[in-house]
Amino acid sequence: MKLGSKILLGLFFCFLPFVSTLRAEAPVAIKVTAISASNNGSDFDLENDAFRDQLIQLFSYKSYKQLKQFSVRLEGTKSETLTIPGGYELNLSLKAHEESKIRLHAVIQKDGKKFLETEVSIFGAGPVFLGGPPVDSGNLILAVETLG
Amino acid sequence: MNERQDEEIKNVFRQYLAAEIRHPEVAKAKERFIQERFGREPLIIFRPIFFVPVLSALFVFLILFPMHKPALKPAAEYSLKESAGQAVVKEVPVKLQGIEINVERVSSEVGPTMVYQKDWHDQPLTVVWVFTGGVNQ
Repeated sequence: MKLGSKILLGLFFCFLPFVSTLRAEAPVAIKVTAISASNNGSDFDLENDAFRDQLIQLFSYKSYKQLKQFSVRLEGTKSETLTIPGGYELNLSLKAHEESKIRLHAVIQKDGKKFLETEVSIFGAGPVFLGGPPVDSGNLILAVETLG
Repeated sequence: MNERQDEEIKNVFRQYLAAEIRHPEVAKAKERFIQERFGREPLIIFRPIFFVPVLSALFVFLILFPMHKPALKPAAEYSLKESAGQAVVKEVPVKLQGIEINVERVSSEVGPTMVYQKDWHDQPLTVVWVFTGGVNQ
């Protein structure tokens, strides 16, 4: 093997570990759907029909109303803050990202109080429903999904 | 009467009786008699020859493909519907092929929290909840 080829091969193996690092820093698209769940009325006002069956499986509310939908791209350690109806803020950041698995840090806060803080590992698309804080005359539910 | 004539007469009788038995009128008369005497024969779907194999096949099918797939959740798992009044911090990871959601950490400054997972249609549904109205919310 020639010296040049050896050097190239050596460089390849030197940089191989960094390839996974570069992939780890690829942005992750997250979709957040803010829903107000209550027992007032019996309306299902949701854009995503899949949520309807999932919510029925999980909760006993009679009415679900979509308040807002967000799409964010998380990259590296940079966090994103979304303004949620009801005066809440959702702070999202990535703690880890390896191929199709992410570790997501999420905080729902209002007036300086942390209503809910969690760290979730998601392998796949989700969804994860974060909720409980009061909104309108019901409770806030945030459906968090990763987009391929 | 010699032996040959005797054989011929036997053949004539044999042929006559065979023709008589095969005659459509005789078959109809027999059928009428059976119906009057024993009643109409049940349809094939009500006969054991039909429904026994069908029921056996259905039984085997239900064993192989149960209508309700058992959920992959531990017995101690909570449901939001059932335990909305309880202060529970619980992690119940559901592991399915290709999909996995684990809640690593939960906390709140305003009330008790709960984590709930349910395997539904081979998809883990995960809820991270805070009871802002206290344990009686």
